[in-house]
Amino acid sequence: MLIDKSISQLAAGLRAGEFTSVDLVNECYDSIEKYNSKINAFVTIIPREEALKKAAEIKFTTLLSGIPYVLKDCFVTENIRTTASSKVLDNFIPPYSATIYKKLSDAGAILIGKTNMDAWGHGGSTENTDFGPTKNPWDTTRVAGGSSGGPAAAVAARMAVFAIGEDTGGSIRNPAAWCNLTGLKVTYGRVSRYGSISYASSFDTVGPMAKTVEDCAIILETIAGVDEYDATSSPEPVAPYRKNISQLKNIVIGIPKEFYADGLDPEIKKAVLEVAETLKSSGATIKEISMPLFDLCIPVYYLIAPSETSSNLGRYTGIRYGNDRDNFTDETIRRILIGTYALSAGYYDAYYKKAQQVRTLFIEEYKKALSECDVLLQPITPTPPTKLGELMSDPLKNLLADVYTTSQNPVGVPSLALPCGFTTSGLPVGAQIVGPMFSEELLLQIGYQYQQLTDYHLKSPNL
Amino acid sequence: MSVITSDVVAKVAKLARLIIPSEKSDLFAAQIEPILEHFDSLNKVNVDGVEPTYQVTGQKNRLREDIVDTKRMFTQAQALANAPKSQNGYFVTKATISKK
Repeated sequence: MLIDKSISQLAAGLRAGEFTSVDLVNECYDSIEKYNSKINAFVTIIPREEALKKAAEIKFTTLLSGIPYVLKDCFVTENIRTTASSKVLDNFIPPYSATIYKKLSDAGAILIGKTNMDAWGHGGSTENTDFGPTKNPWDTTRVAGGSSGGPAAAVAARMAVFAIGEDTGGSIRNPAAWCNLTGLKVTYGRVSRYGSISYASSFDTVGPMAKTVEDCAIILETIAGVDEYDATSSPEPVAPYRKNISQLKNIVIGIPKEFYADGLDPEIKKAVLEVAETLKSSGATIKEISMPLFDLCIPVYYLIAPSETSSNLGRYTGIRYGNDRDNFTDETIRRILIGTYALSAGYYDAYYKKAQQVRTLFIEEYKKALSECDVLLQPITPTPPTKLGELMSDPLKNLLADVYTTSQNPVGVPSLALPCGFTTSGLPVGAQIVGPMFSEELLLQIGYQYQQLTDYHLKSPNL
Repeated sequence: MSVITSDVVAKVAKLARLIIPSEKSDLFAAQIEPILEHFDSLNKVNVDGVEPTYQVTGQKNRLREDIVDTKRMFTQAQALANAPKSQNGYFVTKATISKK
């Protein structure tokens, strides 16, 4: 399929006249027609004729020109329904657009749909959604991961070339791992959050999900950068991520031992540790380190994020837009209750303030770990993709499944999720490489090198 | 003895402007209690003298000029376009002050 190609291969083919953007858009819609009823990746599909019209008129000004993509449905798109996968917004037509949507439109990328998610970002499996769960294209009895499950499934099932997801506690990395994609949780502030429906405002990040590291580098160059409309966006200059991607110095990879203890599926452990072994041939050395705060990330994350979300979701009153608060799901209600309780008089110090103090200790722990090595190698999920219903039946188990991805967001550090193998039953496994703040260039260089030495990222599911 | 009782859930729900039927309150209380218990592990850590971190940008007080950016303004029609109830250019809501 044309959609199996990387962005740079597609850009070259388009300019050489081997195929057209119309061909790409048609392939995507054919995949949607064939598979979306089984996968349920989409909340809103842009009418085919509209996308084809854009494709027919495209001017090749950037590498993303003429390339079909999807947005997680947490990004407002002017005049295109945006729901955050919640009944509260199922009739909401935004009067403005997210900065990343404007940037991608200006670059000539073609939006073909808004994709399914755990409502408001509240989940790790795209089952906490009012639009039905998104199934994993690798095994449709299992979940696609979350909360960016719709974007991940759409790209894995070749319904789009790339997606923009959002990661607050693993929501890009988890579905990337479970759908065999490459995904980037950026440094907090690297990409504008203007127009991104907020979950936890001090954790939320916006980032690319695609088949290859090079794809992510190209997308990141387009969407990164300071934005006057997002006061938390960083003035840090945007590096030429794609241009420098094949350079790599000798690196030290830290293996934090607490991340590889009980509770991690042995096949996943083996595949993730193998990433470091593979990179040795590119000059990497491995160093075992300790990050003893490890399992406190769940209380830190699950006190601060619900607190922030209880505040952010206060705006949904059903008065100025949307439907009223009776429409929240049970999982969302639980998070609002936990957050409100943690912030309430008499409990604020013991819960919210304490969690923010331990957050400071995590920041120091990551700084220390990253002073002993260039990057850290960590698993993304403790298990392979779960069966539908498995996580939703147990609220505490659902939270604990996020243990490997909930320390990076409170600290703000970036993490690149890479496909690194398959279980014996053929389910994808992902690994994450974590670096210091604003080290996206290094992470992408390491990931690019890894994808020259392996081909897991080139595999696609049998649909 | 449970800390998170149905009553606690009801009080917190009121703060959060959530309407929760009482059978649901019991269920939420039973689900939330073990979660909060799990968070007690934070008490293992000594945080004396540790400042809380509320955001990680390293920036403070990002200001802008107090000038209207007309590019970002909605017209009144745009602002009202998604309102379930509007009248004469106003949002319509339930009364908050009664006439008693």
